[in-house]
Amino acid sequence: MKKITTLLFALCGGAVLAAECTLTGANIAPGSDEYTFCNGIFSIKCIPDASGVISGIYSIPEKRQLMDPVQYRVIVDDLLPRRSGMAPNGTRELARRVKVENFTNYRVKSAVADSKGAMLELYSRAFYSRDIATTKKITLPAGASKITVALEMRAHSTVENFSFWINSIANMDEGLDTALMPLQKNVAKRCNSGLYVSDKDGICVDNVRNLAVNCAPLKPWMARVSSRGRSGVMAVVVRGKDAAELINGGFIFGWKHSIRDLHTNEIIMPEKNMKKGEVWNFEYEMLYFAGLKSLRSIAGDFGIDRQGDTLLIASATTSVPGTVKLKWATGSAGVKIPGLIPGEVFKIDLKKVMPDTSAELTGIMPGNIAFDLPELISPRK
Amino acid sequence: MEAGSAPLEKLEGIKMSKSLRTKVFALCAGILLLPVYGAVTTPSVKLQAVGNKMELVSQLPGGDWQKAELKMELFDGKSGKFLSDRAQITDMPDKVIVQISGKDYTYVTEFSARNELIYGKAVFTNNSKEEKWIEPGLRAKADFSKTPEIFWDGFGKTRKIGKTPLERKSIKGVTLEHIGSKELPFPAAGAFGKKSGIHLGHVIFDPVSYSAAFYDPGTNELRFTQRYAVHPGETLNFTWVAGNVSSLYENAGAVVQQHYDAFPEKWAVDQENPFIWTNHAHYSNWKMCPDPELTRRLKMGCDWAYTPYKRAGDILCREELWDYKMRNPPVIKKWLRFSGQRVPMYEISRDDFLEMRRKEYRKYAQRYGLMFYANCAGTWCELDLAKKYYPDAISDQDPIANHLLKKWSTWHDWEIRVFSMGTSFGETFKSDMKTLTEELDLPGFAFDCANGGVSYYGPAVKKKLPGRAWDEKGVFIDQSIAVNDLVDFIHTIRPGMVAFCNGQIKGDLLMFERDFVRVDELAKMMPLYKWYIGGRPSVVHGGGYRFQELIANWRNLSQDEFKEVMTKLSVYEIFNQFKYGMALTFPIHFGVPDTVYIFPELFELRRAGWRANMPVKLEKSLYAPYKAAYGRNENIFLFFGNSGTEKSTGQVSVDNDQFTSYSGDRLVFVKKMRRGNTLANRIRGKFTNFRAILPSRVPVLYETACAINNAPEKMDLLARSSKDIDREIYTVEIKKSPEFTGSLKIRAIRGFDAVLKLNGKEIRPGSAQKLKAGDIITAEYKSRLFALKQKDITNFPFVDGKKNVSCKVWFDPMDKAAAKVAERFNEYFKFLKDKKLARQSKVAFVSDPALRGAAGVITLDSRAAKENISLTPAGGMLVAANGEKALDNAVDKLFDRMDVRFPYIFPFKSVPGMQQDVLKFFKMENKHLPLRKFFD
Repeated sequence: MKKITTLLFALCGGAVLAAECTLTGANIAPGSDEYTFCNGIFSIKCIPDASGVISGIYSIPEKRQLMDPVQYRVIVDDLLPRRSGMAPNGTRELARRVKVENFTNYRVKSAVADSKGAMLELYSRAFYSRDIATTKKITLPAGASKITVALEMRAHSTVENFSFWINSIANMDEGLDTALMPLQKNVAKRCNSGLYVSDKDGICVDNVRNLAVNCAPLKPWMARVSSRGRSGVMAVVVRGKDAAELINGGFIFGWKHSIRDLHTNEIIMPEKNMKKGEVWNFEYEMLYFAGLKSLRSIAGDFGIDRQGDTLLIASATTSVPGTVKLKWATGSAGVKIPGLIPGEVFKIDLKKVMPDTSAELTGIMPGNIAFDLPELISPRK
Repeated sequence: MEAGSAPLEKLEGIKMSKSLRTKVFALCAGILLLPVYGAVTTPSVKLQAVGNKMELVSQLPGGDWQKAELKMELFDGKSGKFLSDRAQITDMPDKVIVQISGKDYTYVTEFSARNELIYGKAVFTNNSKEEKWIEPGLRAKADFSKTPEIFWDGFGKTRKIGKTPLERKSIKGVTLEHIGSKELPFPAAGAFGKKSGIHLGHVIFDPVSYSAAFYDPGTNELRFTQRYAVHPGETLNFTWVAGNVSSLYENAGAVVQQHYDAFPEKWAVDQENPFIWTNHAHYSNWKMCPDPELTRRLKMGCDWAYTPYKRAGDILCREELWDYKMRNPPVIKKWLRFSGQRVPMYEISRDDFLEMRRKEYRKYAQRYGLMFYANCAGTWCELDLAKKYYPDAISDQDPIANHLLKKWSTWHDWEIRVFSMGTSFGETFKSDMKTLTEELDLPGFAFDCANGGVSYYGPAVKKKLPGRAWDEKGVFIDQSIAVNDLVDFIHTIRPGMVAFCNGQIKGDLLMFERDFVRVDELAKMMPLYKWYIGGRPSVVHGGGYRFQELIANWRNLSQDEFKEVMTKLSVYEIFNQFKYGMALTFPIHFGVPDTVYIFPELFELRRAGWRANMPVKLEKSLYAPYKAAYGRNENIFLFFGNSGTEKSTGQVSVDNDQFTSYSGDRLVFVKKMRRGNTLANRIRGKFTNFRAILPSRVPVLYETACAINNAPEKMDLLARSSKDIDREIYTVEIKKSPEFTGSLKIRAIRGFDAVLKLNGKEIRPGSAQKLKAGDIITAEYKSRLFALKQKDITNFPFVDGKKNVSCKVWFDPMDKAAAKVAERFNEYFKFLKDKKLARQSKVAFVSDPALRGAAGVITLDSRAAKENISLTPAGGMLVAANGEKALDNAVDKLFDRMDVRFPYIFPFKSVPGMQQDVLKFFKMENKHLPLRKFFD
């Protein structure tokens, strides 16, 4: 089955690399359009009016809906300001102290689709009510199972206590998705929020319904997987210098609905003060590793997991062949890996590489990107 | 006497016309030859005994049902069985009495007419030595021509009737706010077809802890029950209501209106109370130092004086209870504030606190209506205090309500739910309220989150208390009954005491703690909440316009767009105030003069009593999504709000029968404007028709000019009004009509004496008159206070051309009351000076007898026989009244009229819901929207 999936990814990806990606818009509500991006591997949707929310992520090779499309409604009233709403879903940016019912109403600056990918550029004079002009670029590269979101935020005036927040809700399977949260040990508080404290670093694996797990992040990402063992990992990862900002001052958490199977991925950046005219460029990506069931590390576009003595490597983009350097306390080894396409998983039998597979393992991926493999941690109830 | 065995001759004792007698005999013959005896007849329904059965007979023409068998049932909660003892039905001319007697109980219900309703006074006596758990009920099986479409269980939303039986068990609705109390149903249930419906219930505010409503589409049976636990030997009183209602305009709302009309005393509030008929200050006179003129101009009659105590449950602040361990660390600082001063509850000594509290209340409580926040309606108490002193009052056994709040009224304590009736806590609490009223000279108490839907199962339920009910956990009493008991108690402390309540309970002034702009919350709470409030005054305690929340992207707007958005928002708030008869608070008024401009009309309509049913048809071309009606009988006001961008015109048809409980009165309307207006009315059968022009986004009001009884099928009339502050004249000219004998009624206008004239000759309202085309009906109203015109006040030389204060205030030095009231002129002129409308803030006080009544002099006299504001022959002004309060009131009214001469628009400023950065961004600080004066 996996081979079939990989083949499908190869067929779809190959076809798209040779063809144009598409980006189309359609009116869905009074004054609101929805844009659909397609690169042959992913079909995604975006509603500029609703904070440019990305939703409806559909894996074409798998025929699998990874994130339901947002049902966006707009109410036009004689007297009240236009109101809009949607059920909690999709991926968008928020700010703390801004009600989640609110949206940044972006307008479309440009929409481009070609053989490299599909890109929608949005603009709003303000980020919600904050005095920050925001340009948001959403890119779906050709042949990739990843979405890049780049924001340019320019403060019109002095902005204080700006707490930027990524809110992402997908549904990898029926039931409550499991959140994978790289957790930094012994941090009790961030951004005035109490955190879940662990005495060791690790990847917190959380699907306990009535438990709030807020973490100081060990890595600049969090991810979700099916809680029923179905393959596929969806990760949100902060890129650039803000990755370190997040690790040093922000936090991540998964909010769970008490009854419904709703489990969010939330990334909260440390509060920021911006001077008038200051520009903040922020980038994050959504990476999907179709063949993995869990995740220990993200290195560039690679997702890495370890299941017992097997190291599993997948890529959200088409990679070139190279060598993975594996290191442990008493030695190291280089393992050649082929070019990977999205959906494909390369496995390394560690017993053939390491004398003692219980040793702590780190490594460097092609492109000189280091990774480690924190252990999985179950949160205390 | 058992109905089935009553001699037919008994009918002879009842005075009946021959035709009626014939009808009765025919009817008897038609229903299995069973005789019909006495009947309870209302304009819409009749209750009659037929054999040993009771029957409701519709009196409404063309309804969906004509007859309904009405059964009484009695369920024994302990045995789980219906008691099958036979009912005896006794008829009397205007009563039907049903008696059910068992070996150890009697249950007697006397049905009589109450306006349009059948009203049952029930008495249950437990003659046994055991407590009885009873669930008496009414069942009505109506002969609907087809299955009714709608079932109403008493809560705010109706349900469609399908094939499945529908029910509502218990009085617990949705949870309200964090405190866990529940929405309560209106005490009625009904089933409605397109034209009419049948309903059952009990009287509002009865102490009922459990009721249930059912509709079975299989049998078309509507059922309504109540549960009581009855002590051995106890005689329990409770009530029933049954009715028939036209559902042409409203279904549940029409039932509610019948309750309003049948039991007006239940919603009646003292019309003379000075604190409740205007706005409330929304903390601005409690947390801030009160500003007398701001308060007067924004008509803030009282304030919600929040948590003036250290420890919930000890409002007296007893010495022995003062020092204790607060559970929440001092890092949580929710400062209590008295008139702008912070009160650090962690540090302040008891003596200092009590002195400060006494001083503030003594200074401001009566003038600014500071309603002492009474410990969340006596339903919460600091945890350790309750455990140690009032364990019997702790209410923590209802599984569907929370009982412990770790940050509630004071924030520094944990508070537990307590029950205040029949408990040690209740006794202390009542005593404390009484003591504080005297000590602080309180005008009343504020009861927060004063709802019910939480069952108390504690030891006090063993006592003989009202509202004892039972369920699977045992005997309980609903929290709302204890709160209502406290409201009743407040009224006994001393005359005029106000219960300012945030909840679905009794009270004199009701708070609606939601925002109109939060449409989802409004939809959730309305109309049920408003049905409870009814005609009582009510205020909204919300967060202003919530501009940033409503328009997250406000920075994308230009200043013009801001003005457009704000204009529409303000119209929305104005329309909703008229729609619900609720007054908003100051955050709405700054920068938006229209919201202040509507005060007189809004308050006048609100006093008339909001109606749950507005039996008015609008022609399709007439666009009025916002509408409401107020008053009853000949005192009717209509409101229409066209929220669209274009003017809308069309015919309004007023169903007079439903407005006047089928009295036969035909109402004549005129558009309600401040200086007068003209309106052509056409009476067509039961309808009064008139053509309405509804400008875009402007409230339009109509008021009754007169009511004509026994009017012919067709009449054309022209109504006119002409108004000044001393006199209002309403004339109705009969343009077309056959000659007829009818009678006339006119509205009562507050503060005016009325004279009714026909063709210039005074007649008595209600007296039979011959009327014909060409007749002129005149209602002349003369003010009891003003004996001068508005122009006399406008032209009075309060200031000279350079805005120097040029008037003087005269009073007799021996008239202490006048001397005191005179100070208010300084407050008035200080405000004018602050707003650059006058150059001085003080007015000269003079007492030279030669200056009394002199030109430019305002003479104050508190020793006059009656109130009067008039011009003196020399060109002065006389303000006279009997006593300080009356004089103060007269001056207040004068100031309102002086405001016409010295208008002031409160500009935009940072208030809740409208932050400084918004105003700054749009450059609207100290600016305002235009004043539209749509009633002038």
